[in-house]
Amino acid sequence: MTDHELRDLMRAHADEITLERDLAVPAWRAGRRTRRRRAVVSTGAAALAVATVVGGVSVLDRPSETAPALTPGTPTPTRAPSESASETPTTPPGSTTPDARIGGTRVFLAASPDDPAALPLQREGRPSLPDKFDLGAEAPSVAEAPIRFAEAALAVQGPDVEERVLLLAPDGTPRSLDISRLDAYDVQGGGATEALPVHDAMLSPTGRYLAFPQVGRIATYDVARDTWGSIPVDPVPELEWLGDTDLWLRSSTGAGPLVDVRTGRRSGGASRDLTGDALRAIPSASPRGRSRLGPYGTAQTVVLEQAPTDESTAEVFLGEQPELLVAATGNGDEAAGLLVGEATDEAGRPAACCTVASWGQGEGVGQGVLVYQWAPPGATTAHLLSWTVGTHRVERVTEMTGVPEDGFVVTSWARLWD
Amino acid sequence: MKGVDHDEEAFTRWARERQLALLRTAVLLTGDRHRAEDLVQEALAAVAARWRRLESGHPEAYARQVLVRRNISWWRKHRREVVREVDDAERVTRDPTAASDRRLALDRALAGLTPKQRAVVVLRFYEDLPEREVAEVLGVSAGTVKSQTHAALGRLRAAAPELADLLGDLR
Repeated sequence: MTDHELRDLMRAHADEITLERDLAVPAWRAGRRTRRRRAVVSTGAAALAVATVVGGVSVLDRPSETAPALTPGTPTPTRAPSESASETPTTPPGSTTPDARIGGTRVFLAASPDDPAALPLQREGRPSLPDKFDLGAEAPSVAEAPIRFAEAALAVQGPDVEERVLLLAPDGTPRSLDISRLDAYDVQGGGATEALPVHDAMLSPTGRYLAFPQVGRIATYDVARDTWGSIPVDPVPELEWLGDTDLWLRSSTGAGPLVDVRTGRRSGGASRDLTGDALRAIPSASPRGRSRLGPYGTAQTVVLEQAPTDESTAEVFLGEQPELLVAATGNGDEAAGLLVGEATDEAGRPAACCTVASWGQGEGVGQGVLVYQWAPPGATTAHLLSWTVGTHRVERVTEMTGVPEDGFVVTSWARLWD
Repeated sequence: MKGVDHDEEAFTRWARERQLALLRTAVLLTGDRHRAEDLVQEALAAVAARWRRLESGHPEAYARQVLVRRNISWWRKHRREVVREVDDAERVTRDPTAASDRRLALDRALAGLTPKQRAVVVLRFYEDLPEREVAEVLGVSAGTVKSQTHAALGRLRAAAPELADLLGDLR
């Protein structure tokens, strides 16, 4: 049989459906209410945008500058929403036409947000990572198969998991790092007592060192030498790398000393507004996860507490609490966002999928590539994806299988750009 | 300049002409009459909210896009409750040549598709849209439409072997 017969079958089924009530009049009334509500919200949003506070980044007394140089940004200008954005949702991957705007920030819809495996594999500027690997794979220790650095450090967090970190060598082969010598540590501050002390900044940008929070100290590991070290710190703040070898012990105020992981000695200090650039781009957003510095600026996952109701963009944001990746160049240029999903489902359960992992290898100024991790709750496969900022191009970098249903994967990536 | 009364009259006339067709599409997309009505109501309201810009364009295409995308969004939120495979016990075992049994078999097989796959099948084989337009409605590439169509037909064949002859030539 042919497609005509399938069509006939579906039409025969459809022909049985009749209209039981007129939907036109109530729809017109609902549409009129929406127009009025949007008019009110737009007025309020314009007033809020004027009140945005400017943040910034500054390195106080850093002795050797190896971190990406950033210039404090300026608020992006508020622009009129694109008149046709939501009516032209499909464009070629390289297109720079946004699907919507929030203030001055261009917003692009992520292709296949629920099915990363269907995305094309990244070819241009691809980091040295395998297309796919198994988080549960058997792997030799670094002592058995030495490496000088790792491209990634990965761990599975959850009940009854193996106490190890999987290191990906530059040739894509795995190494297993036994961390059973370390104490459990509640990295996320959620009250967990059995959690491994792994986190999304455990690997240094060069892939040479690892750092793990412990009570009263930071445990360090030198991949090239296969040796452990310890840096006394009390209390241990959220760890972040600034430069190749410096750990930034940032306090809740945003300022803190830098400590050289090689010597354990103070090497400077830094102060930074962690989420300033992203929140200047979208003032109504809440930051989620870690902000990432890179060659083209800062990147941050943000959540909008409410989908925009502006008439020209409302249909782009289909659900509640849209989740976006925001890339903001530090020089005042326009910011761009990638709409990747929703932060919670209808029952209020966490459903956020994506966190910024790193910046990737772009092709030039204005062509930054943002690398992010797709791992929504319950997914047994996680993906590392790349977004060419300011375009619709989203590609698959690598696939991670073996995530247990009752656990999640924690990843930390070496610097993925040259 | 057109007034509000004109807008309301023009919209209502258009909506009354097209609401049944949209409802039929929505029922095929969702498999659920009540949710289909809700979706059509939302789609028509979305058209009404921007009627002045859509009136001279393609309001039905926009309404169809809202139907499809909101259905996918709804499914994302409820997938833990609605995702299911069509198991052996549910498969139709009656005479597969009888039209009513074939429709029943198709309904059940459609229920085993993801909303995106189901939308591809409905838009391509019921609405008769070309791949390019299906891609526009879904907000994906034409290549994704091809792959989703292939996956959907494969899943339909697996879920309803009695329709294999009907689905055999499709790709």
